[in-house]
Amino acid sequence: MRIGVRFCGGCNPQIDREGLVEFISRNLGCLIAPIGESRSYANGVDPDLVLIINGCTAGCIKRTADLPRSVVVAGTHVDAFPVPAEKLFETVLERVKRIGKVAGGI
Amino acid sequence: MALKTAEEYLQSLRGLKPRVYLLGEQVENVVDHPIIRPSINSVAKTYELAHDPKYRDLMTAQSNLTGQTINRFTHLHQSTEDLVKKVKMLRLLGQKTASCFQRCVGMDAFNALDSVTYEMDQELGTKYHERFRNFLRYVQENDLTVDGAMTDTKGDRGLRPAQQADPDLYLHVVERRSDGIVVRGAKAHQTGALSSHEILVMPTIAMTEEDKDYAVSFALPADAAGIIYIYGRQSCDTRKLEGGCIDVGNARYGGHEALVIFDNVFVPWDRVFMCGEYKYAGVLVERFAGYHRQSYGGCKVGVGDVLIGAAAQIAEYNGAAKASHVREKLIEMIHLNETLYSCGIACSCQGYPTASGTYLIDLLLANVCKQNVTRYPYEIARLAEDLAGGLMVTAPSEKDFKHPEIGPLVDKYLKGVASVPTEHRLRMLRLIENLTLGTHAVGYRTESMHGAGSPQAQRIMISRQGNLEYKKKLARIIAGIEEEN
Repeated sequence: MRIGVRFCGGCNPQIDREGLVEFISRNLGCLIAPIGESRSYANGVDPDLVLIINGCTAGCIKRTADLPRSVVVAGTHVDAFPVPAEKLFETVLERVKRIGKVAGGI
Repeated sequence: MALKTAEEYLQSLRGLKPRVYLLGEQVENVVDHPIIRPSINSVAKTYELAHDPKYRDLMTAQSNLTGQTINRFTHLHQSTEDLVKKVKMLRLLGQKTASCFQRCVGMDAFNALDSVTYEMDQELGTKYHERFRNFLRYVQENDLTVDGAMTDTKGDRGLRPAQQADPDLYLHVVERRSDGIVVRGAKAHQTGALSSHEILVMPTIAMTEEDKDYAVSFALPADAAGIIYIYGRQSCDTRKLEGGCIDVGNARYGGHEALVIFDNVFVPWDRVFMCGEYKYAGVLVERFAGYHRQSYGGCKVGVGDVLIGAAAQIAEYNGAAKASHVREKLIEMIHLNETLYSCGIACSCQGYPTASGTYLIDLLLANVCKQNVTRYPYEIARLAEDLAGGLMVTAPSEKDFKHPEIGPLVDKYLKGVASVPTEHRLRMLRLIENLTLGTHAVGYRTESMHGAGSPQAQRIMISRQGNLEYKKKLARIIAGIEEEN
């Protein structure tokens, strides 16, 4: 599965944004690469799923209509639901697996 | 009509028959009681301003439930703009009433319960959210004032609800029936309880499984059978019985709290929004408290505006306005007051949508806001007392001032600047007295300390959300101890 990532600006993150992406990448055994303003990687290829990683609940980067398959993390919230901080990484991983399965990627 | 007028609001309150006690006597006519009426006038102002084109933009909103224009006090926040407008509306009302106008507790309860019932239903398969929204539609369509009731009397603070010697020291379910539940207990310091049409009850702390009978939320009409109200005494309250208009400081507006007792009260299931789901009690408390801590970044600022104005005005009446230390003190008061406002606005701007679509404030910033509110109004009040001078607590009474023999002497000897009538000087001093140690010191001082949670409650939240590990990492990187990745 091709997973893209879009980070917020990171002014005052409440979570380890980079650590979260590394955790997902390690557990799924796939490379997670940043996408640009468009939905594509720098080489123009579209990812199967996009991780939107916001450091805090303000969630400056929103889910947009051009990203049909995405998981939005905003601080300790995953797709708007609060998650205990110690379960955040596992919850995001499960969410990515579930949406990725729909996408046919896992 | 989704927007009541102030007169319609007063008439609707007259239709309720709550069981109320004040100064040892049962009150038959709540609306016209001289001690209670000023606080009802404050709530009436929230209705009056909603019809005024000069204030309508803040005072009303479009309901996401009905599409109708509704009073913002019954609205579910649908954006960060809504959160900001809430704070601005509260500042406006603080300016207009110099009092607690009581209606924000209901608004904060609606918004907290909306998201929590949604999330509870998603996880547990319960049906609370639909019930709650049906209730809120009724509130919006009838423009009701609702008392958001959270604080239990708590008994021994070292024990959990189920461990108390008297099980009623936290409100709890005593019977589950096919048609509803029966509850018993009490809610303390209930702001606006007698100005409200409905009471919306929530648990007061996070609960464990053994406390599940205490994890209960519901709404009832204010005059439901078994609910007893005992009016909270306020400093200088009986001045309102003297018939004057100077010594009370603020003759038109006020605020009130009451001890509300639920003596085996029946609640039908369609009005129950939590019943035993103890895991969700904590998050409901956290969100309600968060919204209410945001509220103080508006309402206390508005009242502060009046107090700062009174301090500046009395300095002029005293002939001291040009002194540099007076100007410095006024600047300090403004600085403190606007700092509170900045926090209220900031936690709103950084708000975010919950899963139900209702927006929540940034909880860390809301708690910082309220922590500042536990301090700054005290300093503003101290400076106001400094600028007022000792006469604010030693001046003769209104009756002496109006006495045919000694009145002219009071008028002569309490004159300040020659062009200012002595009565104006006395009125301004009494207003400062009212806000700093009279009936409204309840709202401006002690409520600033303990309302929406005492200072330590905010410090726990700040500690939990402050992300100290991240700050330590930043320091290690800058100090050259750790590589930046």
